[in-house]
Amino acid sequence: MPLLVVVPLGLALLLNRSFPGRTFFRAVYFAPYVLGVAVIGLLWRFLLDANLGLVNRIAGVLGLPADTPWVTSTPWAWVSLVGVTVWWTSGFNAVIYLAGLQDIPQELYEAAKVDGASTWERFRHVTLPGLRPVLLFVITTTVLASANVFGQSFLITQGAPGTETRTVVWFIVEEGLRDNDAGRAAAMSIVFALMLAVVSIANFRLFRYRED
Amino acid sequence: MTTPTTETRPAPPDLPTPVKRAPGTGLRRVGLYAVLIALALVFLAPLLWMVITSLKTYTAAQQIPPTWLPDPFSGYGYEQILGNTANPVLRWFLNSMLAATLHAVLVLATASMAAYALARLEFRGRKVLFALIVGTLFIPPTSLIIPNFLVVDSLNWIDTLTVVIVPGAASAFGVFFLRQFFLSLPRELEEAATLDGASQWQIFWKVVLPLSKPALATLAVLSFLTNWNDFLWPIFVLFSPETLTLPPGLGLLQGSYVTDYPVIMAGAVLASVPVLILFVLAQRHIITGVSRSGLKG
Repeated sequence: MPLLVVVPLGLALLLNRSFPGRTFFRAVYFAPYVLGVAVIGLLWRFLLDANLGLVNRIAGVLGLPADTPWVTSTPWAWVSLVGVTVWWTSGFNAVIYLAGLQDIPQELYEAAKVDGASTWERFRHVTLPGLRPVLLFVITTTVLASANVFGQSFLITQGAPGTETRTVVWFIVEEGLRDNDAGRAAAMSIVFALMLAVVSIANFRLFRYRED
Repeated sequence: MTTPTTETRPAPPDLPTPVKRAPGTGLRRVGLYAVLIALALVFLAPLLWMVITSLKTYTAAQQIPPTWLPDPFSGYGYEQILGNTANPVLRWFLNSMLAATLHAVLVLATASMAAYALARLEFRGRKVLFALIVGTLFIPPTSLIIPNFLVVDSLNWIDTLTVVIVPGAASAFGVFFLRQFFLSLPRELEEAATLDGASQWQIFWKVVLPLSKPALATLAVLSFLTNWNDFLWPIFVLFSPETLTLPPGLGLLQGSYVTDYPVIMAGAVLASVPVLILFVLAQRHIITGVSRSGLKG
């Protein structure tokens, strides 16, 4: 989860300067996001295949163990789910960060520089506070999206091993569809929605977000 | 992230201009590009691999370790898909195309009219109505699946294409997005049209909409993408092989071909190509739309 927030921030910082090809690289990093979870799921199930997959092949070329069971046993299955999600959504969050970075007045950086702030200090005291509303947005949507994960585990690990990587939404779907118990499934989803609402509110509190 | 107020600053329709320090010269610049290119490979290699594998024969794809390039190039995966009666992938493709297109058209129609009313017409309860619409954006979509299912079930829409076209056609995001854009348009144009005796409808149709083409295009593309990629809802409401859209269809394909990867990857390519083309063509629109929705959402 933290990776989903931090990796895109790194990408955004990298892209937040002018150089030839900036738009191109931004588009490349964003590209996976336009694909649906079904395509991502099939593609990564194949890439992560222990014998036939590209990931283990590359690991082999690099001299790393080439027989990691990426999708069939924990903790690898979790690593895979997180990794795939980072790959899939980083470009999206990076674009949102980028827009936030553009809103930070340039003068603040210059003032900090004049005051002798190091790169890290400028990041810590100018960039991060300036990004607070955007950070809040990204964290909240990421928490919600992580809680709602369904497609990745349904298609990539298929819940394996056993039902360990199944998610809440999966249980709700199963309750409603296979067991044909819409009432129970609806109750589950309402409890789930309330839990998420509590998380979001806590998040807002934490950031003490004030309008303007 | 706040409840948007009527004073929300309208975003400029264009991308923010790149600012910030220019990269250092020489070594630093080389380093920057090295990192950028390495990352680009990480993001693109899986997609390339998908295309490469879709062009392999079954035996070539089964080799351990995998070969880098298809040898020989083969249309095997695509042949399997196109001549397949148990998994009519072509049919799913057309279903998806039809559903996503009609869905985008419906979203544009409802959102543009609602957004215009909320941006420009004076009526009692306007603010409350707008707050209610935007408030629905905070409800997790998954918690609505069961209620929505019960509704479409009582309408007898289950297992027809209507069920993936109509629900969601009244898009809260669309209303919000277009309203912010309409607010940024200069009022003078509409006032001039009123003086010329144009009706409310004529102003909307002949003045506001033509000026809003970029925003409308963005919303259309985003709606198309969302609908094209939707997976959870279709697996709930579509069952027959001939009514499926591509995402649930791909799941079925994986079920019947298991490790016959050229066939599965050919299906994935078929599902990716339209959205990737759309992305390349409308890249600016999509990225602007996303960054704006994030900041003002």
